[in-house]
Amino acid sequence: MARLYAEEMVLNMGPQHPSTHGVLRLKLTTDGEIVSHIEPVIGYLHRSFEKHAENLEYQMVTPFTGRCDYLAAMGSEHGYAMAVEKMMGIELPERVEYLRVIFAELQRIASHLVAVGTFGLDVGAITPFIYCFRERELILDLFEMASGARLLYNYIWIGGLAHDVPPGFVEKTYEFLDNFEKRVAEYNQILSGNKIFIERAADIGVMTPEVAINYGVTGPSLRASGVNIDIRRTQPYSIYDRFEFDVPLGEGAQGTVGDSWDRYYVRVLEMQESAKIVRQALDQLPVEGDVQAAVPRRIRPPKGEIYFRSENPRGELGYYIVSDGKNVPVRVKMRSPAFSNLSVINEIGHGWMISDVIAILGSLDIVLGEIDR
Amino acid sequence: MIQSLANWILSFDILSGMGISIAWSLSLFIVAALIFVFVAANAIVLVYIERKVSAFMQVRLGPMRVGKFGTLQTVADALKLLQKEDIIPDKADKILFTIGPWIILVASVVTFAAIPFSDTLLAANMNIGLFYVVSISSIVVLGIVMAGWASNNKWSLYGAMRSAAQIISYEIPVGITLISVVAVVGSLNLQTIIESQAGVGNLFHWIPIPLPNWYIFHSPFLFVAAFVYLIGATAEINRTPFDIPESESELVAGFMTEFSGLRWALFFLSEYANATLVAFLVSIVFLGGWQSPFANYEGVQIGFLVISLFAIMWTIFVKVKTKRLSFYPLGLSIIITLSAWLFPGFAIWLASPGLFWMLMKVASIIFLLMWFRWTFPRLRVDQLMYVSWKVILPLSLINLMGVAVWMWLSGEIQF
Amino acid sequence: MSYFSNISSAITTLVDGMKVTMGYFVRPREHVTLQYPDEVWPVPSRNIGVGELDTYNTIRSKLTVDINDCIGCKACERACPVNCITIDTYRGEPDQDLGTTSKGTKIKLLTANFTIDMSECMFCDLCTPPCPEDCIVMTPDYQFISNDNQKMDVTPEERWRDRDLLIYQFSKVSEEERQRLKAEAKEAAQAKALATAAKKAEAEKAAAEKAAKEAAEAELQTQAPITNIEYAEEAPPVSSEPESEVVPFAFTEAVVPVLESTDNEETTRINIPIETLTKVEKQDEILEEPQTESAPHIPEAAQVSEDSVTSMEKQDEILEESQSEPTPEILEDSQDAEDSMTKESDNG
Repeated sequence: MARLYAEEMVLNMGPQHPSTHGVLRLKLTTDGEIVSHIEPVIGYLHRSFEKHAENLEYQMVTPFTGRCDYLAAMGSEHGYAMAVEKMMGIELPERVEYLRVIFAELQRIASHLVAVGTFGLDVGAITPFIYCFRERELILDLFEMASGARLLYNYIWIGGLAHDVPPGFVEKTYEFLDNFEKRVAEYNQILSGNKIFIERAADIGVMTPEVAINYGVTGPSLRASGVNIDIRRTQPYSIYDRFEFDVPLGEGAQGTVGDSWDRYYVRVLEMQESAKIVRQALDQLPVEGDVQAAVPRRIRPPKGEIYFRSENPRGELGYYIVSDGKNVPVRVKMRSPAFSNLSVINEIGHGWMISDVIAILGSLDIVLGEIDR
Repeated sequence: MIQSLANWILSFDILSGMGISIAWSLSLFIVAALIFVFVAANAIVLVYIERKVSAFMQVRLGPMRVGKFGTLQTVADALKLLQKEDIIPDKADKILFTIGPWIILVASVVTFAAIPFSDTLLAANMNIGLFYVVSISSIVVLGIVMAGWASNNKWSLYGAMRSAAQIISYEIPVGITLISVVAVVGSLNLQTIIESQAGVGNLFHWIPIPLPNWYIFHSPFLFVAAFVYLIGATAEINRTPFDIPESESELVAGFMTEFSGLRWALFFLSEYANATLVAFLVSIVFLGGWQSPFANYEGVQIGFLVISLFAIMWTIFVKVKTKRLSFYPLGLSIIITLSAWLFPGFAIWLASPGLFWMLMKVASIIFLLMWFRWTFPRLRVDQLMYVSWKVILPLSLINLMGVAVWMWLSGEIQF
Repeated sequence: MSYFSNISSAITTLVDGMKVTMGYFVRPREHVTLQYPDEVWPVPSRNIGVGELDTYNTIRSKLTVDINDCIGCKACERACPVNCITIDTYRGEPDQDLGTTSKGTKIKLLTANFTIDMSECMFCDLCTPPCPEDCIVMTPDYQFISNDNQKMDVTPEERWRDRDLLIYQFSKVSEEERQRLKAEAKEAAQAKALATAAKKAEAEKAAAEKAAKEAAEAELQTQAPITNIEYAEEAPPVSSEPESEVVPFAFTEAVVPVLESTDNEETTRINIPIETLTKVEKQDEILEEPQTESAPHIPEAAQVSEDSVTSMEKQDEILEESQSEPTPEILEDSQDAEDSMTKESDNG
């Protein structure tokens, strides 16, 4: 009698898939329904950002940084601008700093809305996704009013902003913030507390603090495991030390600390904290000031190198810039948080079922543009 | 109904020489065609309704451009699907690939032969109507597994396997729940089940609120049984929260991935046919079928008056809370109340049983199914199994015993 | 016991969720759908003080150029990260008045061809701030639809050439004039190249002669003094014509890449690779050599290569003459900027 071979099946969640947040290929080795090994294959969206940056002047690199993490473009431009400004020693006017914080935090809200919505979509709840995008449209309207573009801004320039915000921007932002709190309560009602959702997300893909730190995970995924590291608190850049906000940590409210529900819920709470920061910044915004005052005529940082880290909605976004005195950088390397976050997928994903792997991937909140650059 | 139709055909002078058997087969054919037309038209309407309902729940508008308010959208979609290229994968099992979708559709449509649409519209008055419906609708599993296997695609296979497991494991609680109703009625004949729900009675036999004599109000056990059946039926027809087999975000389209054009249209048709079937069963067994909720036309008038009072209170409540006047509930209910009082014919028609009430109930159940789909995330496969075996099944067994006890306590049966 | 609490919490949370969706279902008038061709979202507009425009809309969409105001400084061409702008400028005739811009600047260069390839443009808006006359603006016209029926049987080359009407061309002169200027420039460039080639050949020849003479003298001097010296005859004359193997057209390509383009000029994009920016210095060296009398006569109108307008210093001069405002940052010399910066190197 012939033997029955029950081998493991290698399943390919190919680059084109509704749930892999971009063109990501996952090779799943499954035994029935349980996944025993996950191998992510990336590079489908590589667009040679770092090579381009070697041939462009510093101010021309700014639009390209936005295109790497296209869901949080203000954050990417902000990090790059701050890195070059630190190299050149530029001192920014107050109004610029406050406006930059407002844009960065609004962008954080927008990015987390996408993360929350698409996580719901991955586990099957289609409606909260639409609600999240309705809020995001309001934020994108604000950005369009200020910079002229909805998704890729080229607004945060080295030394300031491209141009000042129009009149009416502050009122519209206040209006947005007033409605926003109610909406977050609504998301909690329809999704966070939903028993089916909790069943799908709690206790799934538990990431212990040791594993998180060993793999270099940063951002909300790290804070969901209980590790209290937020670059805005530990190494405050810009004027973040002037605002009062809490850093939400995962507490295992519905399961263990560091599961997918925690990673999701930390993002929901962070949206509320960002709303607080925006409100404080709007209250303290200086009315006068030229946003173009500190933009240098010619951007030629002195010879040297710098590594500057900032808190992207996904984690620690680092820019390593090497300059040799010319107006074109020698090397711009972007340390992308989603890349390190993705690397942990095998460690926390093996041993779960295919549906859980998709939920875990959704909770890590990756953007392939940033991973592949 | 077939007999009456045959007699009606023979009553024409021209056709009277036809012979009874030919008239019979002709009327059989006509009835079958009518049922199929009903199912197809139902699917077309339901696709549109689903898109509009889902859109309104998601603060958007849905189809608006094809036809006024998008009513011809489904027709356009059907035409598009019909002209698509028929792709059969190279290594697919051609025979199974071809007949898989048809089996699902046929199994769903054939069950409609036993469903009473109104007191006179019934294709086949069978003694074992309920048993027939439940057993034939399980053949759907066969079609799904065929479709998944024949696609030669690991993802489709996954979807088909999950679906088979899901449907088979939810058959049991569904069957037991239906049996608890049969225990009250004493017959499997669907028409008898409906006829025994006539009249007005008390809520749960003792609480003195006058409600129609439907089985959902018969006892708390049957009340729970109705919801248990609804959950089980949602799982039977592969709808969210149990739509793992066709889960879009995981398996692209599950077992339907490789089917394009007309075959995919068949899958969709059968999904809506199944949903309609389940809604019919719920309405027949628990909600009184084609019986009207009002016993007589005075009941209609009083009933609408009560509804108008509720509408007035609701409008005041909304105005106080949001400073906005919502006219629609108020206006609508006042109009209907006035017409019930002014036109007794209208009230009498509303009080009499018929196709109208059957369709109203079916529509509300289908709306409930759509509401479920667009609100909840989906359950994972093992959680689905857990719900079936450890929650729904014990509950249905408890319901069965509880109904028996209740009937003894309320005097309907004697030991 | 947790079994029952699970079931009850499941029921309550599910019903909560259903309330939310039902709440939206009964208020369909709060929908967020914009039924596009019938309803159009208002585009935000504000005044950021660009020239005379009162409300300058900030949506970044199609580029447009007020070509009458263009002074040909090519600041926008240099600022573009993806090189989608191509500008051809020519020196006007000595007595030709090219006009003034709306800001009062005297125009010194004739912008004959201003081509923007919108299919390459990434809408970053880096080209509009450097313009000293504010003549290039991004308009809020976001509709790229065209009603032209596309021919079905186009070749890929034609498809690339036409690029769905996404190539925008602005010009101050008519098409024939442009071709004429271009032809003249090409001739002048070739003549110049010939001249430089000839010069170079002569210089080499002279150097060779010199070296030979020196070698001969050195040899002579190392020998013992001879009384009866018979002076060598004059060196055989080296033909003064350039050898026929020197192909001037090869030089043309390398030295003056800017003014060259393919024949299908009107719709093909002229490519300025970034490397040519570094070659500008070399070009300056070549062009700064003194003109000899043996240079062929170049008509005045087509004399563009004497001080090539692509050299940065020349641009500075033109601009400083034409306006009293400080020059745009890209053209300024770097010494001032460097002195004003503090030198700090951080390791972060």
